[in-house]
Amino acid sequence: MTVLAGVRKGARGVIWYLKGVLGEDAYEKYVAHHAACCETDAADFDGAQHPLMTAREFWRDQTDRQDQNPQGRCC
Amino acid sequence: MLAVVRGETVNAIWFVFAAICTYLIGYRFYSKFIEKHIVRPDDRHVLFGHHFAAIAGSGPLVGPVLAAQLGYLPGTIWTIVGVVLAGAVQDYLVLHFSMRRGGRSLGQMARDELGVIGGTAALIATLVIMVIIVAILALVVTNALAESPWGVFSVGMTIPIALFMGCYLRFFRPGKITEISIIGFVLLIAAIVGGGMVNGTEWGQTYLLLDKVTIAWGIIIYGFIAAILPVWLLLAPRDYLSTFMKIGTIGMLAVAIVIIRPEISVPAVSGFATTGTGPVVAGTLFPFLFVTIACGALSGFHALIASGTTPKLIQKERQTRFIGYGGILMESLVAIMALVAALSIDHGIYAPAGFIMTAPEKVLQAEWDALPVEKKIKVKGR
Repeated sequence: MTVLAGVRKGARGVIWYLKGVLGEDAYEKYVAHHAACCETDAADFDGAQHPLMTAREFWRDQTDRQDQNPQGRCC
Repeated sequence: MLAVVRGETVNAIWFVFAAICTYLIGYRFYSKFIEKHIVRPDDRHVLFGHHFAAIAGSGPLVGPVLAAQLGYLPGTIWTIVGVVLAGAVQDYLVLHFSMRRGGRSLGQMARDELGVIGGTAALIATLVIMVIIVAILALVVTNALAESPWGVFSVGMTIPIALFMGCYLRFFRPGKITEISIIGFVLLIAAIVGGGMVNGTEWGQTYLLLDKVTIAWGIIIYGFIAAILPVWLLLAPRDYLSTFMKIGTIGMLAVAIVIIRPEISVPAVSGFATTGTGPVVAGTLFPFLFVTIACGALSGFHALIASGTTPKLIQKERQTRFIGYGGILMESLVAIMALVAALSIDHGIYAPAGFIMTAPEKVLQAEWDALPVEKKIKVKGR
């Protein structure tokens, strides 16, 4: 049982790492950031209120940003 | 407490000892507890992965394979010594200084330090470096795909796979990056296996056996279309796929080398190092060793990556050593593993497979074949 639990914990760690490297956790990070900054300060950097984006809106916004600011990759 | 109850005097030094011990235990355990539950835990390993995926592509795999024709010693020494004394130092310092300047890019920093003229010159130099790198990579792709229906089919299939992945993420299940990467990986393996079958068919030989000029035009047209299409449709999914493949390739190479433990029977420095008539790249050791093995040892392009996204994501200065210096060490390890793989492949597969072999060198095939057997690259037991 303990071995199984260890394997499960390890597998969860690998998935967490892979999601982090691939950027899948971006929406969770955004939600956490939104909750932290927009509810306590009632505004973001620009001073305006920003309603929380849905996951679908967030990912569209994310790829549109990539369009405007493409990131380099090396050889 | 015991001393107080017994009415003994208490030496002040124990206050200091008790304080120091409490601080150390608190720092070691309680601050860790606070970090875990209240502050965001340090995810420098994820950033390490991001940075590694950005600096390492096909370079550390292709370069050492090209340089293997010079013998095992030049490539090995340059990869190991070059990365420790040059490449990693560059990555580490650029990352560190960019981070200290609020994540500014290399061009912006050059402008700040050197003024408008110096900064503009640096930007032009950067653009030229990029053009040269892209040209070299395009040349590698052209050589790999020319006269190879297998290569053309498998690489060609990555385009519809990437389009499918892009649409899946955009319309069907946004944000499920790992899921679509696994689907894409399976499709890609199917495309590689399928390429082998296509290679054997008549229509494959008729329609996919392309010469270099056709391939080059294909790459130019593809490059233009890829640049003007939205990022979500083609480039972003390709990026997810290649990150996934990169991690997989490293793991498989490491496991394969440990299991097979190949014996190297090539000369330390081959005759091609001085004659410049090698079958893969026609050129002498100077400067071709340093041109072929760039990523993995010392690559100027890394300065652009190290002053790009990574410094903006760094949480604290101490992380720059681990990510900047450590990231390229990992890439160098990939390069060494690729070199070992290239050195252990039978020359019959290594040289004439059409993989990264340039046209004038095909003429030299006869010369290569005429070499004594012990000078060729062999697999253990052959």
